[in-house]
Amino acid sequence: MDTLLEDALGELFRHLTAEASPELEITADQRRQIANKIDASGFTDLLLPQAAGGSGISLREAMALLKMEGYYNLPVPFAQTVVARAWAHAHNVALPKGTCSYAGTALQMDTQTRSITLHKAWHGQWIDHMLIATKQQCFLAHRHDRQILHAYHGGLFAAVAWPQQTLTPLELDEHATHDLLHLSVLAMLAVTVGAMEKAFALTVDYASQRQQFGRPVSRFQAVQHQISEMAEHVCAADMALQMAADAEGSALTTPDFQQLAIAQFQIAHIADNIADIAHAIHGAIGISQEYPLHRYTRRIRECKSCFGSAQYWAAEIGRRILHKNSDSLFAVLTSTRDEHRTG
Amino acid sequence: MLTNFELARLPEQDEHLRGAIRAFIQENTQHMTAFERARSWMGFDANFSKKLAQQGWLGLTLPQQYGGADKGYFTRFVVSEELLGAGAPVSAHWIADRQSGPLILRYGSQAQREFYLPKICRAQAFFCIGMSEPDSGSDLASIRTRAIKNDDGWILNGSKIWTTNAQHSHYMIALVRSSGTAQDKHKGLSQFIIDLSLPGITIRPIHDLAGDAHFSEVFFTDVQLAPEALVGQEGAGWEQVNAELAFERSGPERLYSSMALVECFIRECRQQGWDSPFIQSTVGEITARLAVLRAMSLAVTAKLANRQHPALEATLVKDYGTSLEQDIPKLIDQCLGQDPARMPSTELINTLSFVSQICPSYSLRGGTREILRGIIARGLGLR
Repeated sequence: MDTLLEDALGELFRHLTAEASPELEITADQRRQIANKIDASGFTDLLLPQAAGGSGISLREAMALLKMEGYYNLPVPFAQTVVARAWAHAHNVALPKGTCSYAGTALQMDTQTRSITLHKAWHGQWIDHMLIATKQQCFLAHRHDRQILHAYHGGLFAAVAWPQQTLTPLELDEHATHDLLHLSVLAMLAVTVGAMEKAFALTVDYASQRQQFGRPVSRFQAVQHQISEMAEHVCAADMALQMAADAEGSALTTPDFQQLAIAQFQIAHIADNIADIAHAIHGAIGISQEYPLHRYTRRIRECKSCFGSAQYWAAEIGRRILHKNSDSLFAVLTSTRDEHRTG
Repeated sequence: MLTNFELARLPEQDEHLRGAIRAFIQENTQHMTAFERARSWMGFDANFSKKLAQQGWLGLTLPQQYGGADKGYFTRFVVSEELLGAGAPVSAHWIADRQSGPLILRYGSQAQREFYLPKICRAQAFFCIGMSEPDSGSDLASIRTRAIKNDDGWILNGSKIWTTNAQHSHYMIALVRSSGTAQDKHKGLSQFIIDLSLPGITIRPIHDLAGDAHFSEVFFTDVQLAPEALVGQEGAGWEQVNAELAFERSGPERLYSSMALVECFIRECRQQGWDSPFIQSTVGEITARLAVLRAMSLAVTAKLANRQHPALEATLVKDYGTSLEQDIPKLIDQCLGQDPARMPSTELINTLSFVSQICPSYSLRGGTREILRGIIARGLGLR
């Protein structure tokens, strides 16, 4: 793909995250400024067709860009905003400017207080807009009507609520709601894999620099083998992401369910292994607030199953295999994508 | 990342091959039980290999002038995975086709190519690989089998052990010391093609823990080798062996070793109506991990097809693949025992017991897990 786009976005994110003081919790103002600068750069529309002001790249090509949110520990939900904007364009939903995130799980409608509560909403405490999907209906919620119930440590998630009358119901068909869920899962996976790649890079660097017993700890076989294992997991996570994003056709084509489920399983399945090895190699410094490792391992651990755990997605995959009455698993594994779709 | 796996697709013309191969395998393996299929590339059937050769599916990557098909790595991937996925008995020709043929093509003399390669393509020359010795396993450079130059070529003395299929093979490609001592490590090692019918060679099959005898110990006592038994350069054996192991690690061999067990289990789940959430998630886990690994293996194949040298990636996929292959019997065992009232068939019990017992070998053959992780660490710049 066009590495110019990758270089430009990487440069922007590097610059934006360097400005925010890494030692302290980032302020709401700093977040706002970062979000505004990204908005002004036009990158949030990158998945739109060229005619609509986007870059015209495919979903698969976009993965390298969406991963950067995790890799640079960007304090705004860039990836979710990108896919939400592309989805809104495809389904004629009027999505106002600003950051956007999605919630379809851990939500509760309270008929007495006539409100909707989200227990773990992605950047919930300060997001501009949130797309909320219940089983029956999809809503658009806005910042000014939001009640913040609890902001979790680390700032990635919050418990929030909206009075029901403030929600804008969206007229959508069932496909549109599924598409939104699938794109949101994919965006979250991309961010998680980006954080995994950064945690890996930090770990390799640290092991090569940290000296104990008179030599870098990377010279110890026990350390080498753990990092080799970590490399395998990170490569597998990235491959799974590429598979899920490999949708045929235009940028707005949504991921194939089977491939997405495989990716979500694979990434959730090995996420904690990756974070555990990163911490084991870093030792005590990795537990400190000052050293940045925790920002990436927090993303890895907290994002891995926010749309369902490894076990949940494995059962989704397995049920389909078991209920297919004749195909061998080998036939399923080797079928081409077109056969998947019709089958 | 220092390593890089890029999603690749099989070219359409290679995908097209699948139907014919699958039908051929189905016809020629229909008598086989899951217990037999679970031998994977340890299952020996010379007749099956000859039939495959008649179809033109041996020596696929070798040039046509030697009887090969001049096809690329993708074609080989499709044919290999169809064979392995079905648990077809490929072991007679497997090593010749995968390692020895490409090695002779790359390092052999013109005369060696003309002599051996057509025989490999016709399934008339089966090969084994002599690497390990009683005191040299992972520390391969410490081997003591020695070839000493004489007027008629080379005199060979020593022994090899754990040599897969030595008792069924026509030739062995052995790594032996041709100069210096064990202290010289990688220096002074050479590769020889040894005709196993020569006087002075004794082959003693070794039974494994499952009751099979797929590997052997081979003794050489004053075996006279012709000068042209040397393959490649004298003293360059170590580099050649490493190139050869890269062939070994780059294929889909490291995905499907437990496949016969998986298929048998899924068939039985459907027949017996085993459908608990635990079984669903286990089947899903196996499916997902296999799918991702297959994509990684295909990415390695694409790099080979692009004339890159994905030695690090191939090592990584092999290590990751054997971990899954070894997890599969444990995962399936958990499912069967999850409800003690379940009555698995004798075929499933037999197959599970075989794979559970033999699977430690998956991360030993062709380089142990510890050796592979050391190679990955070196590739990452850690050592």
